[in-house]
Amino acid sequence: MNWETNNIHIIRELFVYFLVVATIILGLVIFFTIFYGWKYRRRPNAETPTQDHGSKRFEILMIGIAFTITSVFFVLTVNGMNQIQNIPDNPIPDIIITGHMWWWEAEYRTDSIITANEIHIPANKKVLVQFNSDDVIHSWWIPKLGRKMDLVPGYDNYMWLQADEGEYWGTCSEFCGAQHALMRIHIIADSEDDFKIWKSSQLKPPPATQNPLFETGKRLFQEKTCISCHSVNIHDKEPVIGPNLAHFASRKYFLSNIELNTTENLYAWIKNPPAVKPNTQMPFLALTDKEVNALVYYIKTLR
Amino acid sequence: MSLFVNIAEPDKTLPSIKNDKDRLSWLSSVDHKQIGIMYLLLSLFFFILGGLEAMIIRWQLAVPENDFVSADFYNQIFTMHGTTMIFLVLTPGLIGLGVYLIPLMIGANEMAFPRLNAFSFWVTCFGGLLLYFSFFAGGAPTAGWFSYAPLSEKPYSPTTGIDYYILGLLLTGIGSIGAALNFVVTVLTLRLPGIKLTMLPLFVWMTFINAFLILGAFPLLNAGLVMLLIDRQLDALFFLPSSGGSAILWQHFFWSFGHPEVYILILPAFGIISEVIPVFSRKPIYGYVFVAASTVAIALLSFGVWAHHMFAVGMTNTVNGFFAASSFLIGIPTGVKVINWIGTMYKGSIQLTVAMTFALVFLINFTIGGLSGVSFAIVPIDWQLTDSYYVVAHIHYVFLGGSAFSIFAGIYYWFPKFCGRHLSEKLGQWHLWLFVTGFNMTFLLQHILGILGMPRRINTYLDLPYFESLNMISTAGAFLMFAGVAVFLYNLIITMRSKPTATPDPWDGWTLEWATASPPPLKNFDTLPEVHSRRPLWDLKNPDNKDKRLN
Repeated sequence: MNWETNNIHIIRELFVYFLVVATIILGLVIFFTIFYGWKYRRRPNAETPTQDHGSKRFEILMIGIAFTITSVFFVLTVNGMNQIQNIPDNPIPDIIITGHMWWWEAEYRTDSIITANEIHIPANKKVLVQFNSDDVIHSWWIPKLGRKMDLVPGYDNYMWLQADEGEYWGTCSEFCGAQHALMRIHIIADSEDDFKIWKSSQLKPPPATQNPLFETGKRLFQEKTCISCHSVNIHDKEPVIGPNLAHFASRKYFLSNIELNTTENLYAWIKNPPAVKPNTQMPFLALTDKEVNALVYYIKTLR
Repeated sequence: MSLFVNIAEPDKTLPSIKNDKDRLSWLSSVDHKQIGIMYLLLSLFFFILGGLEAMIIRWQLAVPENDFVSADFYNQIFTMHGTTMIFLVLTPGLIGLGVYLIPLMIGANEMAFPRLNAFSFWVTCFGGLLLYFSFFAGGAPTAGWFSYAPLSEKPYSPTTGIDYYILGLLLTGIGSIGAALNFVVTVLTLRLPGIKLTMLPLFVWMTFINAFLILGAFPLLNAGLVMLLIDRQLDALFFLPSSGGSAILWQHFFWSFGHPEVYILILPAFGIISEVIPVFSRKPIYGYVFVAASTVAIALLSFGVWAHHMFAVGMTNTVNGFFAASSFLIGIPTGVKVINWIGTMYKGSIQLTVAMTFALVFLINFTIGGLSGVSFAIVPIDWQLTDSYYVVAHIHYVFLGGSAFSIFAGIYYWFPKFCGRHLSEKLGQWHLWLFVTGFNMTFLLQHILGILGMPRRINTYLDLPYFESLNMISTAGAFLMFAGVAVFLYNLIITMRSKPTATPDPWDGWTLEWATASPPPLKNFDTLPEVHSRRPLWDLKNPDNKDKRLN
């Protein structure tokens, strides 16, 4: 087994080996159970069968076979495990992903970009990701990329991430409370150029907008205390109660990737957050339609 | 040589209204048979509740983005389903069989500590009721049956649900410890003279070994529960990392209990299978010594495998490797048992009663659960599939296809002894095939759902390829199981209304419980045959072809 593209190949290969052996064993058990059940069924006037108490040699042979099979699998396991989890001693992560109830924060360490939920990585490159959590335990799992990793508060976990160009979906896999099912993961593996473009667009301030609706929205964002949970500056680590909204309009989805980032969806969300996502930390602010409109307009300019 | 020896009756009269036929006498009974039946009824009661919860779960998951129940209610339901089935159905069910049968199978008239026996039952019962009272006290627990910290801590679970979970489990845990202590002392001290420990029927042997597992494992759970309770009520910080505690510590406490617990729920089940298959194959168990010794091996190893539940928390490869190795090893003694059960059938004379058919269905379904269990020892596979529906499928193959099927086998086998009546074999076949078909429809496909990427404990899912059809079939299977259980309940009711006709030894059995009336009188035995082998009644019935004398 070689590190070819990513973890999933090692896992798949091991699973195929396992499946073959398990199928053979299960096949034998099913066969003998049914075959003996039928062949030795009680016939009328059947005589008492010979009272056979077992054979030590047969048992030892069986234990020997079982031990051999498991030993082979143990070696394969250790081998695969060491290939997947080969983290250097003093790891310096490329991306730091923090789990929150119920969204994903991503920090690109070298560029100090702080973003959320839509996570871009360069395709076909090994990216070292550090995981931790801000509240309860979450778990990162993108089935097509293999291996899940728990995000444990108080511990840093590391994992190599590598993907072919494309979009990948996953979900939180450790039960983390009311909205666990809707904590989706969305990874976009960009080509080298696309990744550079994405990064530079994140580092640029959003295009300037001059109109009264924008000004009202921007003012409301401060006055209605949105700002105490959400930052709109790409470099801000605080506050982290809600996702950093810098370049929010550039994201395709929002709400942990469960809603398309459209004006209508955004409107419904800001108007009454608990109605869209029960138990959310975002409060119902009793905003008027006009205020919601202005806020949506403002957020949509954060491209 | 006399064929019969007298059994000593305890010389002190116990404070029981044993002879009173009033139903209220059950409340104060210390008779092991009455307590055993009460354990089984308790288990049945919670089995129905847990089953209804399962139906809510399956109804909610039948179609994508369903809103039959709210996320919060769903989380209460799946937490209660798991907690109920493990702590209030399988545990008391298996303990109940043990409490009823162990004195009978070792030729004793009572458990060693009859009052402790009653206490264990009632404390388990109150624990269960307390857990369910949470529904009326602001909501059931919502953190899953293993209640991971810090989600189960006050800041993230502010309702009293988790407190009821802690108190309920503490009580049932104390009940289980009491019962285990009673099993150990009963088997060590009350065996009929002549029965050596190496001559015990395998059900007794496995329950005996299992009792040590309970004594080792439940205190770990109770310690963890008390720490969590102190965290929640007295603001300690054992499991709260934001203030210096450790989120992983709870997992170590819980799983160092939780993995032995898995075996606690399967070892007595193995014991039942080891009684049923020989009797209906008309042959002694194949390789008694290996079946018995592999039980001890499982018991010892089961305390060294817990962290295979935690491969995804980010432990080093060294730690992972250790627990992978022990998890592989524990598969071997389990496999030995399956081989021996099949070996028992070889050249036998097999009578496919409902009990025997359940045992055979157990063999196949438990093997599926055992094999998928071994796949978690392959750490990279565990990294991929843990916490997905593959795990849900696996635990149900072990707990339902394993433990529950064997309990059903045991109920059909021992029912004439318990109640003096035979459960209808015809209805039993309906129960069996409805249940087994439904079971495999529901859970076999969940392996695939897990591989496709469906995480466990989600109340809703998007309309991804195959998710809807697989979940729909899964839900349809749940309805078949529901129908199977309904047939079983109907069978119980009509059987109990019929006249008692069972003979003392309807299956031509070989162990001592068949040497007394069905149901046994208050004092189990007046006289018993002398015991010189593992099958005393075989020796009695076949004087010219006795088993090898062992004492």
